[in-house]
Amino acid sequence: MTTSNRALNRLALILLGLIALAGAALLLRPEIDQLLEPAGLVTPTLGLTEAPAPWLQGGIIALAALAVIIALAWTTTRGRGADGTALERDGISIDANLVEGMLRRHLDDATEIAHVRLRAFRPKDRVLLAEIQVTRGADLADIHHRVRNAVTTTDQQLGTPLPLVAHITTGLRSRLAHERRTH
Amino acid sequence: MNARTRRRLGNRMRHRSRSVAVSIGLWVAALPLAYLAVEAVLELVGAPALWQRPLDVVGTITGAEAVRYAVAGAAILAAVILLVLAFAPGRLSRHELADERMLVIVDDEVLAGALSRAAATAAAVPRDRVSTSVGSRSAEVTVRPTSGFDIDRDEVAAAAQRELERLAPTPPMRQTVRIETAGVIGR
Amino acid sequence: MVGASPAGRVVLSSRAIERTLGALAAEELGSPAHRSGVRLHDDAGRLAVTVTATAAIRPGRTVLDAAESAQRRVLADGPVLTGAQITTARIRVTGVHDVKASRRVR
Repeated sequence: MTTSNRALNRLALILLGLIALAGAALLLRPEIDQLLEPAGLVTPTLGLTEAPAPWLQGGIIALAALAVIIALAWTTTRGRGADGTALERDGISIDANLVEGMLRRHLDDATEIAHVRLRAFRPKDRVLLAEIQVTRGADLADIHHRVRNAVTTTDQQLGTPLPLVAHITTGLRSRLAHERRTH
Repeated sequence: MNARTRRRLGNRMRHRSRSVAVSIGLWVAALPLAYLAVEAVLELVGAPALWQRPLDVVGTITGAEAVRYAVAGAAILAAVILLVLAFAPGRLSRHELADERMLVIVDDEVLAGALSRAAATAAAVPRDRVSTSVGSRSAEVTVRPTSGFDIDRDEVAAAAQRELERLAPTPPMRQTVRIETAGVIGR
Repeated sequence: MVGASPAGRVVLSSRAIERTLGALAAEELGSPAHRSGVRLHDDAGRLAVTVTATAAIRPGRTVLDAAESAQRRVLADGPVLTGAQITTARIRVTGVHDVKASRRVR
């Protein structure tokens, strides 16, 4: 989960794709001209190579500066989501570590849960992502029920409900933990 | 968590982020331009070029047929990859479970395991004889019977259906149960 | 640790202030004082305090309540005990203090 806007990601990919296509088209000008000539069409000339040198150099430098700034801005602002704080208000802050400890405690006796990890994100508002790793073939409805109870108890002990996303997954750890055979 | 936040987060969790692809794409576009800009600055101040003057770089690429085709091919390939990434749904193999308190996202692998478990109990076979493959809107449960013991397909389907109704995944999915013709000698 | 100023007023060292305030907050949070950390900042000539501590899970007392009590306690009793003017107290709860485990250790 990252902070970047997903519609914007899509738009950026489309724009980059179109720029790449345009670049390819420029390089393949002779071939494209050949194709279009019989149809009586002529490709427009850009006059790039005929431009005076200082104008061209200035253009390249400005374009490159813009591209590097956009790339830098994008890379540094994305994925900034995780910070360790679960709750912060009126001078009181609660670390995600505390909430993780509480959840782990309440899920301690669930044998099909191999591991619980909690991370705090702020995509827009603060969100806590609890990753719950279960063993293969676990009773999902039972796990869901246990997680819900653990969260309710945590809410009560903490004194406020937190915006929580529970992700039930089979991680590497739970694959290594051997399955308890009941038959 | 209000309904809008929940929907937004649900979509986020069930779809791949494209931000890494965008970052790579932006840098792939920016670095050659940055190189050209360095050459342009060197030319402006009258210093010797690192490799060639900007216009000569363009000339080198467009001059030789092989180089021109190679670069154009690479650009087309990049364009196709970028556009496919932009338009493909980017769905992750996950479903959302109904819950009032929080958002619950479950990997399809876990969902498949749960259906296998329910089906195995209904069919009275060991769990390793049931396999389930889960897609976005469908689940197919395959059961290998114990030789000499018939399995009631409808009963297994009912069990799988009950499990689905209990979990109520979003997007909703339909189950089909297949009983293999070849059995296994029971222990 | 304690030095007298020319006017005869007692001024505690910052280390002593930190220990005192840490102990106040830890008591409210139900965790051992030695596990708490205190940072003092200047706030226009007065003290701004940040206490970092774990919290015990106790029946009938939420962690948020305990943290708020710790905050009030530092603001109310801190000046009385240390003589320092305290403007703000920030409480950061870093984790669960396991009561059973710490009893076993002792």
